[in-house]
Amino acid sequence: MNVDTAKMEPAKVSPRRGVTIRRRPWGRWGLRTAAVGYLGLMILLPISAILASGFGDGLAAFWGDLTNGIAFSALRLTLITAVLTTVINSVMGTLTAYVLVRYDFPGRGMLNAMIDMPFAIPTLVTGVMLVVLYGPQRTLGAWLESNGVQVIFATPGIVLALLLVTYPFVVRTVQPVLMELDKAQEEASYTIGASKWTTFHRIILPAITPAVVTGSLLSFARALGEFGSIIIVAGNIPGRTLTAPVYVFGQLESYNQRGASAMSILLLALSFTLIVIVDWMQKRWDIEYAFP
Amino acid sequence: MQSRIVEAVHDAERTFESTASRRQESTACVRNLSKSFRGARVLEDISFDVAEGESLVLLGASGSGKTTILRIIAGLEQPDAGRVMLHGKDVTDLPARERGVGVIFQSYALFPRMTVEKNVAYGLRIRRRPRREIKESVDNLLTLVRLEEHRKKFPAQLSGGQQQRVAIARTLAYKPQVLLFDEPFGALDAQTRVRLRREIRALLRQVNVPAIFITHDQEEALELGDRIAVLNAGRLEQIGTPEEIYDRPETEYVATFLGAANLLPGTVVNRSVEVGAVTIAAPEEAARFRDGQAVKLVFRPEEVCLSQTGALPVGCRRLTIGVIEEIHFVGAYERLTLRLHNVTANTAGTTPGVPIIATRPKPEAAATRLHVSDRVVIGLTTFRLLPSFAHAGERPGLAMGVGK
Repeated sequence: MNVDTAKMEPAKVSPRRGVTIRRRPWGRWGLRTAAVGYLGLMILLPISAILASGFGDGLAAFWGDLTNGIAFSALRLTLITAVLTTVINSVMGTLTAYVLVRYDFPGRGMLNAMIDMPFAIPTLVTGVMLVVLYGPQRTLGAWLESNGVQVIFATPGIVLALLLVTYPFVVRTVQPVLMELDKAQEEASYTIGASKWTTFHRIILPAITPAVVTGSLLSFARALGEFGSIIIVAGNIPGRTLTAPVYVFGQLESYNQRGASAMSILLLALSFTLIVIVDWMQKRWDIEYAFP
Repeated sequence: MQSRIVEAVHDAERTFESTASRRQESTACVRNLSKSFRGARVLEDISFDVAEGESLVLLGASGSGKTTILRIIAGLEQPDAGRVMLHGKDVTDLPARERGVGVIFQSYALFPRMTVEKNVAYGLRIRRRPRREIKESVDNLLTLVRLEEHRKKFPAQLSGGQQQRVAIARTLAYKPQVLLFDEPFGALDAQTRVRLRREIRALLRQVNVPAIFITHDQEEALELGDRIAVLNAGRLEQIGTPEEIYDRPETEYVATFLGAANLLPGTVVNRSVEVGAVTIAAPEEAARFRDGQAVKLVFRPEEVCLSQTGALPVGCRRLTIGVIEEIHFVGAYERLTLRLHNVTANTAGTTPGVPIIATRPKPEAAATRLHVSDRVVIGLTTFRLLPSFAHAGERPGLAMGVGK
């Protein structure tokens, strides 16, 4: 008896479940449509709008919008400062992460908490802070100026602002990888006879390189689009201290939508490419690490 | 292949015997090590020597301080007090990289982004040895640990045992003065463990490098160690050959940690021991104690002899009568739990009598069958007396509680 009912039960249940699915396809398609529709509305629609605007008068016009004197120098300034920022960040960020993970010192917790401050501070405020500190009327700024170094309304100010805003990226990508790194590997290297430096560049660095590169690319992408702090710090002199994002803002202000769109498309394409590269690299490195 | 290994072992054994005569000369030597972490004592006055070609096992439960000793010898940790000497040279203040010790970490700590041969070559490459010399010794080492065909692989592609052999080859490459093994078989399954133990033992004899092993596994300690040092709560309880440690434990902890032991509380009276209502003559053993001193009567399960008729074999001293409570057949022998009726525990016991464990080899068990609830005469072939202290912490060497 018991055996019979047990045998029959699945037969009863399965058609019922099949019917449930067939009766209400809305449950499935509804959700998908909502998700895809939302994505299209929020991301794809604005992107196509900007593409239409930028390329509206043809490729030649688009090219011209990017290569005219002011646009080109703005683009060059943005790229140069972003690269500089990224290089400094990758070194200092790695150093910070290493110190935070490997050394115990008073104030470590504080320092660790402060790393994220740049993410929390509105970038506009970052700009104001820098102007207050390095402005020509201030002690430090005046002293620097008298020694021939102009920070505010000049390239150093832009780099300083970018450094501050993007500082957390490398630290926060390298830190977890360092924490997971088997400390015994380092100790093995020491007992085998390697110095601290040899151990760092032969054992630790190869292990954290993917994280350093990822963090650097992210901070580069962030630096490309930085606006809030730059507009305050840079002075925005066309051809000298005008960066690409500020240029976009200026073009919009003067009703040159096509020019603003063209530069925006380029910035967008650069950022998007970087994100794709980061994603691809992480997958590759993950695979390599699991099955080298 | 098999015969080659056996040959190598025999070869190594001959070398080993020849070095045994030079045993007095110690390669690694630890003197009065003490260490605290954040106020908690983890090591207290540890001293021992490791002789040329010898392997010493530091045996202890987790938290006994054995890993800390190893890390201090390796230079990865600084002692609060005490010295570490390698080949007569004081290395206490040298950094790890200048000590020339080889550590085989529990996790092996192989470099995951280097191939097997790069791992093995690491010690020579950072010493900037000529390329040809590096290749030659890597070839030799890979042959020694039988990993020639895996030389281009990465650590993640190897089994646990193979990874361990890479780790050993990697340390042997720079000719360390002493090899330190941190729980070498902790990460492996039981069968692989037994096999690797023998392999390592044979390998060590072949290369004739002294070794210090760390383990909490008594079986491992007995098999790997020329000598064993038993650690308990940061103190060295006893050091000696496996036989010495097993046959003549000096403390209760050693008696119970290495192998099974029965402990009965008693009192020394007139060259014998009174255990409850029972007296057992102990002319030699009791000589070390004064009359009225509280002692523990210690004996191994296999030192118990049982007789239904009351006729105990020659050399077996009668203890008392007991009742069999349980019988288990455990492979090569039979294990019995007995309750001794005339022996009441010093503590206010709820069940009358004290349980003890006895074992009988299979032939004996087959010849005279015993059953649960049989009454038997219980005798002891040998036993030891250890001073008894009210608390575990009160031991000689610690100022308080001596002779309580």
